[in-house]
Amino acid sequence: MIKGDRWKYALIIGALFIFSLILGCPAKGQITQPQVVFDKAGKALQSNNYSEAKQKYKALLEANYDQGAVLINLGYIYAVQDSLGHAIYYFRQAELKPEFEQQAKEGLRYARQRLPNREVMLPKLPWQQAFDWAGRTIGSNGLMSAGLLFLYISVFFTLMYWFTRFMHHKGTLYLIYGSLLIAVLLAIGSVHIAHLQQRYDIGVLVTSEQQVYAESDRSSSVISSAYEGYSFTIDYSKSKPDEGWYYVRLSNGMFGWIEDDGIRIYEA
Amino acid sequence: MNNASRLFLATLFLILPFGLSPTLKAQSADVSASVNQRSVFQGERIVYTVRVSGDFNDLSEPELPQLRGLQFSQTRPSVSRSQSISIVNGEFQKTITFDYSYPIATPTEGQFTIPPAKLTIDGKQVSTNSITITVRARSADSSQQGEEQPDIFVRLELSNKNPVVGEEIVAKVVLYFRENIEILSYQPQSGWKAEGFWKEVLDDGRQPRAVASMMNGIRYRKASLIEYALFPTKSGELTISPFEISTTVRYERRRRDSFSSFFSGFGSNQRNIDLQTDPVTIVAEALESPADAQFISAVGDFDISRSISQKEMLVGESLELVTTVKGRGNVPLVSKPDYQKPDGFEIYNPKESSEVNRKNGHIVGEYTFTDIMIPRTPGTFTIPEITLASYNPDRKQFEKTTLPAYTVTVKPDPNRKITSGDETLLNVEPVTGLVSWEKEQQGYLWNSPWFWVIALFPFLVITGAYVRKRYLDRLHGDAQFARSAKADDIAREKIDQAKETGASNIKEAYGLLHKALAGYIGDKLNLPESGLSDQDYVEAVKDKLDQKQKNHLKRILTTASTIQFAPNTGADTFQKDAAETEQLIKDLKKAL
Repeated sequence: MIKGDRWKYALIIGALFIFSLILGCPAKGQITQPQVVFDKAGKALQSNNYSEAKQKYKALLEANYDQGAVLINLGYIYAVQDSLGHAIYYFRQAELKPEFEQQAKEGLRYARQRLPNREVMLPKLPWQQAFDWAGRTIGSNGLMSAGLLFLYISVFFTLMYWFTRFMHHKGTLYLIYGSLLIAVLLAIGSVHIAHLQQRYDIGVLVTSEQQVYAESDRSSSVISSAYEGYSFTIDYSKSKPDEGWYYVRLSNGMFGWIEDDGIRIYEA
Repeated sequence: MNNASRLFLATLFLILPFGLSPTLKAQSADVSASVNQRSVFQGERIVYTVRVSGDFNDLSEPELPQLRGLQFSQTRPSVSRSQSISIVNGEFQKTITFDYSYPIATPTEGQFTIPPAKLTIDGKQVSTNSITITVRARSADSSQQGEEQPDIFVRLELSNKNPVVGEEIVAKVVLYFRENIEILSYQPQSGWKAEGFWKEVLDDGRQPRAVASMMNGIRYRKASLIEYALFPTKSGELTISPFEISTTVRYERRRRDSFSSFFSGFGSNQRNIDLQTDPVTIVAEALESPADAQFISAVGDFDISRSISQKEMLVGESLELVTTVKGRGNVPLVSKPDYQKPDGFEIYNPKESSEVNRKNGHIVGEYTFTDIMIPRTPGTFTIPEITLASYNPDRKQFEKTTLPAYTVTVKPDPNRKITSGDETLLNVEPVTGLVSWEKEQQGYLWNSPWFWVIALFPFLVITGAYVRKRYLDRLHGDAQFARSAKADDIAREKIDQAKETGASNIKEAYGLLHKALAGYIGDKLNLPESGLSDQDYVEAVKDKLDQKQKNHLKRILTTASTIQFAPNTGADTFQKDAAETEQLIKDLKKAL
């Protein structure tokens, strides 16, 4: 290859790489209308008009503005009104937002401390926790984007290895294979987290008591009782939502069936 | 056979039937059954007596028969025994008499038979006779001529048979009895069910007093034994079940009955009689709640009031809202008013208490409801005004009471310290101010077509790069391929050089044209770079070109070769030849 050609190729490759990165960047923008609704809700809350404040905050949630501030305020209102199941439901969602995690934890502590029945929490297995953490912090899309990035890096190094002399050595090969491996792992992880998010959700019981059965039938044996504030992991692949039953994992590790009355669900 | 034998056999013949017979006499014992009355009124008790009299050694207790329509009040008998000795024909005869007495109740009217009772005397089973008795209905309303009126009966007398739901009905259990009867005692039977009613016993503390009364031309005495306050809890036709009462009465001895004074011993005119009232049906009218007030199910004459424990308080202090319903009527059945509680208050289970006075023939009292609330946040709160209603059956209208609104001011507790151990308080403040409003990204990346564009692009690049690399590797590794690949560039380069040179040096320019053509053919067909004639080049491509192209090729090559011998070739001719050379290169490119 002619020396000048190598640099031409390198420039072309680099330009393509940067261009494709730019393609992947989502456009960002600010939305002002939800702030107006939020401010009105705040005024209602300050004048103790909880009904109106709840209504406005819930409207923001329905418009997919599930910011931590909205969740914290709804949890606060329900806690004040002594509807602790609902308070836990919103505080748990707020706990997933890093900037409101501490406030949410305080709200959860208050609500759980006031409930007559407290659930036993059996921790999940380490890899389950790892996937949960990755899903919450980076997310499936984040992992897939990182995977794409590493894919482009491996392609870049491949081109460098093929068309340049100074990068035509074993070290570059290791970089190529390493980047490719990381890209594949990140892609698999992303798909797996997406699968988990599709298959499982978290439910919180907001009524006073529900029975957990061995089968999706009230005549089957009762394996546990669930009380207000208890949380479950709902497995949609086994549940029968059309018939009003969910297959759940209780926080103490037991599995069973529970009717959908009084269960509020959010995406974990 | 001799006479002794005949006498023995005759004796045996005579005795044997008696020995084998189980029902009649057993060693001269008489068995009989009797009752003290064969015709009684419903509810009265009769005494059934089995008498065994004679000379016997072993006697079992009677096996009682199964009764229908009657029932033994107790299965253990009262037993009396007597013995007498008499001399008959110079011989002493001992007679023992056992009387087994059982009380029998007569709860239903009709004619009934008491089957024989069985017992064993000296190992032999014997039976008594059966007895038929008649039980007549104890109806005080019978007006049929000749029908006997009962001596004693009980009635349930109501103050009102058409009440509204919740209205008080005073129900009296009244005992009617003839003048020749003395009431020794009475005992109401438990388990009286006034279904569809709430009942309260009214107690004025006085003993029942008998007063004279006339009924169907017969003189009676009557006494109100027990009073109840009944409150219908539902509308429609309601039936009060019979009230049962057991009495012990004594009949006065009749002086005209001469036998009565002789045969009636001490206590023989005392009886236990079970009585019950007839069922009573009432019709309760439903009450329609008023539209502009909350009806708290209070029926009677009531005063309703409400008070609040304090109007200014600190966060965390308790507030009591006390509602009192006071008056005469269905006090125990008053329901708690439903108030609209202010937001921000923690509501606790309300307390309820009542004081009921059951004397003086009515239910009087008050019911108190206490709502307990604790404010969790500071501010000004309002417990709104409300109108409650009670129904007054005497005036036949709803009476409404408007309870005023209360304004409560809650201030923060200045002494409250928020510490990490302050677990009873909510240490979370609402979030206000500006918020970053980024919508949660919906869906996954792979749902977007751009993702696939971005994801597949590197593969396209890699594929293209791989093809290029293979080309370059071949270029470097395969000399023949390299010559062929470069032939076009080299030929064009030479033609360009020839064009540049053409103006000043025609010979050199034609030389370059010759090299371009010959070199192109040689590179493409991998011919030796030198040592070949023009004819060789033409021969090499003769099959690839048509005749015209071959002629052009031959002419250019010949012209370029012999140019040194044609120094007067003009620039126009050269330009034309250069263009023809270019065309030939193109034609050869297509052909080769």
